[in-house]
Amino acid sequence: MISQKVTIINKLGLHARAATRLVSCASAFESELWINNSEKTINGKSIMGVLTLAASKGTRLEIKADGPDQEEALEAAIDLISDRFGEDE
Amino acid sequence: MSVGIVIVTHGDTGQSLLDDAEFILGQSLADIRFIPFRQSRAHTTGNLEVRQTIEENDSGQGVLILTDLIGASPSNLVKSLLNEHHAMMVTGVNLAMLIRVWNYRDVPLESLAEKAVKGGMRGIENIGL
Repeated sequence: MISQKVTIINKLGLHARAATRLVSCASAFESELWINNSEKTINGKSIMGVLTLAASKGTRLEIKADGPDQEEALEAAIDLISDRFGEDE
Repeated sequence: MSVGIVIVTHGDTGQSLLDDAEFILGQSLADIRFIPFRQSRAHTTGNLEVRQTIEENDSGQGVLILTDLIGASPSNLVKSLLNEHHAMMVTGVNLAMLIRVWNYRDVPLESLAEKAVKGGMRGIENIGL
């Protein structure tokens, strides 16, 4: 298992459509992806799980990946969040 | 083949939920049927429409019907028809429930109804300071 911390930087935070994108990204990999917001750990392949993080801009998350393609899965998730989920701001 | 999904709510609430879920998920939820319940229409008209919709959407796996308010007319109407069909009803539909049901639409009817209940409840939290 590997992990990395990341901060939500887009204006709207981890909103519903962003959560859908993150889940789609995570689901493309065989590895399991877990996301922790210091209060709870959720399955990164579950839309409801991701939404219950209620992660607004500035929220610090720890992402853990575990499986045969864990490096690629973790990198893809971090890239998506760091890229503001493709949003302008 | 998967479980048929039907939403019955007061007014256009169900259609709004479907529109929002499509926007969030980025895909069409056209497989889900929505029936608006109009107080002005005769009870028998609504009864017939719901009954026909259940039958049309049962491909052999049964039908899950999501309604809004427990004890209200739409829910009571659906409840009265359940024993005529291979169908289950879950009340209190919300966006969280709808998204979860859509994501698990290939599981058997009984399991899908459980997913609906837990999904809907999971979307309700008291988030304080």
